Amino acid sequence: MRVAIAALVLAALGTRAGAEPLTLRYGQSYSTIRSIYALPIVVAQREGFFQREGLDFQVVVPLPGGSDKMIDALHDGTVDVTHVATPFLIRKVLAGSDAVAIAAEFNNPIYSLIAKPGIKSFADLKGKRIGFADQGGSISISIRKLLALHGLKDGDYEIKVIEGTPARANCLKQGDCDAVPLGQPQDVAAQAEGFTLLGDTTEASPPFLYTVTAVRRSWAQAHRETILRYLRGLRAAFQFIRDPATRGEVAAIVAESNGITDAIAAKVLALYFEPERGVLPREGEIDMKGLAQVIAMMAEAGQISAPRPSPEQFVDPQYLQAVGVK
Amino acid sequence: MRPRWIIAAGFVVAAVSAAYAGGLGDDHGDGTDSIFFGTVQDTRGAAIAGARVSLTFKNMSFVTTSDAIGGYRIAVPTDPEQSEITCRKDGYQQTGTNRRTPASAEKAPVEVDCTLQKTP
Repeated sequence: MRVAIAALVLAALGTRAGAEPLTLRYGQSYSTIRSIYALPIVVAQREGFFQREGLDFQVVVPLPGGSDKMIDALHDGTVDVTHVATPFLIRKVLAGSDAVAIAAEFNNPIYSLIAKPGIKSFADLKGKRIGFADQGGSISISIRKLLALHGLKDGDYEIKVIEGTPARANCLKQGDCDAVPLGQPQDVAAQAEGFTLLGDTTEASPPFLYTVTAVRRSWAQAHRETILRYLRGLRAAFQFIRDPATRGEVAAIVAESNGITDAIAAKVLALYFEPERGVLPREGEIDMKGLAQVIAMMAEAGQISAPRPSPEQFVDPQYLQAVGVK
Repeated sequence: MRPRWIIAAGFVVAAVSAAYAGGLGDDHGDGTDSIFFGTVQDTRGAAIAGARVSLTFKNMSFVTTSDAIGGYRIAVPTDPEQSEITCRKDGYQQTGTNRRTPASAEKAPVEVDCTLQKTP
């Protein structure tokens, strides 16, 4: 109903941009489309923020999937801009891509280490099997740090690599894994089912820039107005998500788009905002310290050789600045 | 009774939610996806490799590329009745599609062949 009313109002008033609609093809990986990491885009679409800016916004999912394929989709013309995890952008730029981050989408991800109900402490994990994500990824690096912080080093536990939170949640529930890192909302749901929360990655890792919107520099220069409309819509989405007055509506969107109950959705938002944990940008701003932290993590994992690149080479701030985001 | 695609979408939503791992893989396909397959060919029936095949469902598109023999396969969480397949390749224009939907089994694969014609 709300969307219908918004659409009627928009139709009556016309778009804010008041100009010819511009089309933007936004890339998302298959595993992102119904995940919590799609929240800013889902909110912007449902609340009509892109439409208000005169943007014909289309989500495009390249197949076969793969988070590491998103920058390729910029280069082969499948998409105009794309959601991408920062390490994949950095790898492609270092390999010669002219892609660049123009906005932050998610910061400081929270991955909870969830264990079988009988496991009550980190010490109980000795000799047990832990499901890890990709060994070179930020999740595994963070989980290793968390385990080390609590006295567990490689060799103290068995590693089974499993990509994706749902697959790791299944491994835990089927009993093949004794503990796994889970993102939201599966971690909250697992706790509600009696599984044990041992800790989360923010305990051991400094905040870092997790996902961004990326675009090729050449495309952005040729389509500046499209980029600015996108950033205004994205900023409105972040403001809506962060506004306590609309928290209930955001929880309903999280519940519907992730297939979870309103109660679990509310807990996910409470995890992010009560207290504030810096998971979502305020307006899409890019935390350069967070980006430097990603580079440091990649170097630590042996994915970047010395000398470390400067964070500035992966960002073009001019578009955020043009719409008034600092 | 709820339309079956809503029920199927519920399963799929639960399966893929928060899958983003920051790693290299995707949890693509879980047995409840709608499957589309077919070939891309020219007006004489010759296979066209490297054509872009798009499945559009609501405000989302899933895009893949036809293989060396013009074939493609897309398995995604959509309602087949509301999904449309289009094909394109530089130097060609789409002249039609031929869709064959099995009348019986729920979630049976849907075959959609595209025909492209060389542009003058």
